[in-house]
Amino acid sequence: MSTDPLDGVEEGPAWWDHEAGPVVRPYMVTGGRVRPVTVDFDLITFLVATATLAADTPSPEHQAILALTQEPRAVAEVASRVDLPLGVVRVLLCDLLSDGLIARYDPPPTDHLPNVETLQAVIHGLRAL
Amino acid sequence: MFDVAVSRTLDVVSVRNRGWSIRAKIMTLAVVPLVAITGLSVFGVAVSAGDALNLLAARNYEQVFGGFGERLMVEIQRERRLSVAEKPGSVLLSDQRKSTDEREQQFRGSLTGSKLRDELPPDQLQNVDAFVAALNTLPQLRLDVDSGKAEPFAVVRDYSEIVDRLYRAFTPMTKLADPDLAELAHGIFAISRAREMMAREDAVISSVVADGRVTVAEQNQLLRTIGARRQVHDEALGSLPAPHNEQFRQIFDSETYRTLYAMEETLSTTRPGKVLIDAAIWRGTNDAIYKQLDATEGAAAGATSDLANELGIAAFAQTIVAALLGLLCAAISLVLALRTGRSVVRRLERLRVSALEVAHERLPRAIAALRQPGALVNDPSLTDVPLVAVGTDEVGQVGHAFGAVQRTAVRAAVDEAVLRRGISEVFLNIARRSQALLHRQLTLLDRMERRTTEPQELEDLFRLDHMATRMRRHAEALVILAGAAPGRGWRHPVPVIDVVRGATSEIEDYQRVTIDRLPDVKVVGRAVGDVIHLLAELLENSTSFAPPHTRVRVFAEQVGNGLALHVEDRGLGMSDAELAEANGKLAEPPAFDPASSSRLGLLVVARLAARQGITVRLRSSSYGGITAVVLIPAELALTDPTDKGEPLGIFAPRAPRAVEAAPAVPVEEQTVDLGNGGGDETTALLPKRVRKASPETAPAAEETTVSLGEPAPVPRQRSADQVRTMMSAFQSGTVRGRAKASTESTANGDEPATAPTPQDSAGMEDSSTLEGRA
Repeated sequence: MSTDPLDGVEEGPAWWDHEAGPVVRPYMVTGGRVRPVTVDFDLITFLVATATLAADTPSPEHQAILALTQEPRAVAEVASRVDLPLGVVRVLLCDLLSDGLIARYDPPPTDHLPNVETLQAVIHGLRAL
Repeated sequence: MFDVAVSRTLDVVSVRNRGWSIRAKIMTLAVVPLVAITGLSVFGVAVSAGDALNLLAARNYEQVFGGFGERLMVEIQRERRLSVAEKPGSVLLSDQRKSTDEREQQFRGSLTGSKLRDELPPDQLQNVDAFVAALNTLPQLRLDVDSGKAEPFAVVRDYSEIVDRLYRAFTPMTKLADPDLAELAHGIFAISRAREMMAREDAVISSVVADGRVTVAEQNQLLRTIGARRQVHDEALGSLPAPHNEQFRQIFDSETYRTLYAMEETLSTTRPGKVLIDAAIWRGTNDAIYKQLDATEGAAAGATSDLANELGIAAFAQTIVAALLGLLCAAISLVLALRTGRSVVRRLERLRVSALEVAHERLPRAIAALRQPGALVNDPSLTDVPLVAVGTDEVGQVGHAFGAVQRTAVRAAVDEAVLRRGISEVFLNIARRSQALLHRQLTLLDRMERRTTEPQELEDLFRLDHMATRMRRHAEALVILAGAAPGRGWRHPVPVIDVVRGATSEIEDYQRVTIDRLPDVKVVGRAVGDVIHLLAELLENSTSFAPPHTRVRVFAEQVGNGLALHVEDRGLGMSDAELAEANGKLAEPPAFDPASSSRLGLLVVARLAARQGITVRLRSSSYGGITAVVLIPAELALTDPTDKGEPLGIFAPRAPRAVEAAPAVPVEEQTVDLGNGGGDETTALLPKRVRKASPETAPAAEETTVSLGEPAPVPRQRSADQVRTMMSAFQSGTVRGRAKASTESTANGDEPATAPTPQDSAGMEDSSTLEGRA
């Protein structure tokens, strides 16, 4: 018992600032929501803000995302910069998207890319030239 | 039987007197003997004064009768003799009558002037009146004498009647209280009487001598008169006291008296017929004896008067002395009684005042002070017991006993405080341990939430997170009740929106809370933890006392002396009495009483508010519910927009990380992560989530365990995501690298190109970006 580091610590907090953990828990940021309502976001989906900072945006996190996406950024980058779990960021992004505050640019789906045969045919055609 | 009755009576008396104050009782005790002493002394003085007044009255009487009466009597005696010895109309007789009238006037004057009649008792007054009535017959008597009709002996008898009446009036003078004086007065009376008999005999003999013949009837009268005179003289000789009777005896032994005696013998033995004695010799002898008797009587009367004066003065002195002694005794007893009584009363009063003060003020204050958390049980100002009363008598003993009672009470309070403190320490210890475990649990949950990409999993984690957060609040409440500071602390101001959201996240029904747009105010770091907890308790109250379908609204406004936060519910509200009681508790936090556990939340709020100088008041809201108004003072609520605080609470933890981004630490972390094996996809996915492993705490090890235990198949489904993450990381790395290359000098060129972890870069970028935004 005497080896407990808390013994004798009568006054003052035991954890300061970041050690104390975030002031607002992540579930509070989304109000408990975990999945985007309308669309899902890929990590490499690019986002760009379509509006500047709006005075009546819902929360500081929304504002931070808007500020970040003044230039196009990938979802993963946004998540890492606002330092929130990806699940939370997705919900927030969905909020902004449905409010029309951001626009998304998905990368072209892989199935729509030319297949190997086509590419090889192109190569062959080029060589044949 | 009698004793029982007496004691019952005393009991009744004491019960009846119980309402009196001690002062009244003691004063009664002092006054009762005083009244008795005064009464006795007044009685004694009255008695002595009565004697003295008696003497004075006697003196007055003696002046009237002994003085004027005596002189009048001498004149009457002389007139009596001349009335029978001289021829009617003679010069001697008419002169004598004039002088008799003169004396009579004087006597009457003195009798009226002295107001003696008012003072005399009825029997004496009767004697006096009888004498005055006899005096009034004098003119008729004179007329009879002048007409010659009256027999000489009848004249003598009538005059003698007047004199006898006067003698009867004299008798009170002999009735004196003092025996010596009475004897003396009696003797004087006897001499006077003897002299009268002498004068009467003289009158009878003078009339016989003037006639020159003596009849048989006259002879008999003569013999009776002589016999009476001799008898009275013998009696007077016996009754006069010692020093005065000597002179009297000398008169009887003198030659003159023998001559007189011989002449009387001659007259009494001769046969009726011619008188054989010589008128001139008789006259001379008789006058001489008469004068001597008069002189003797005068001397005795003078002595009597002196003695009476002496006795009167003595009696007066006695009275005065008795009065003075009585007064002195009364005064002494009064002073003694007052002094003793006052001293007893004063000591009792002091005992009463100090006992009341101790019972109603000092003791409750000391015990209340000892009940306060953190009271110094060894503080002499609290535990010292003032001595109530000094002394060894009963009052002092009561004072000592009271002191002992007080000491026992204080000792009990001290013991209670020590016990309380012990319980508090147990609470605190357990609460701190829970806090430490919960802190670690939350840290771990934080990491897991960042790692997961699955909404379902995140939802579960959120639930766990919520529960752990609430548990942390309860542990903090216990710590606060034990009088210690809650575990978390902030050095930088935190925006009020984050404080409110932090508080909301700590309650069960956080989704029912609506937060209005809040002013751009920051809460000073040292108050953040307390304000969060305070708001959380109020929000918990509001959500739990309002119906589940209602919402709780939080809004704030800036007021003159700080920031007013309102927590408004739509519940059923409270009665006015309940509101007043709750507000009273909030204004003055009562000592934590383990016996009553209701409304512990209010107690916690009151403690925290008192510690930070925050005012919390509950009032009825217009919706019928309760609005809690939390007034955060201006020194805790910063409105300066240029304040260098963390703009977002959620990012706050990261800021110090950027500062302490030394190259060595990330390398170490990297090594640790690699050691966990490449199979840990999550780590590879988001390497920036790895937190600094504190050497003194366990989270790093736990994290390792959890990571290793986590099943691998989940990430495999998201191989595309994985690739994208890698690319994203790569992209951000190159973006950063380019930015660095363009902005930084070659001094930092030794930094490995891939070494800075995304975490660090993210932290730095974040702070710069956000600062730019702010």
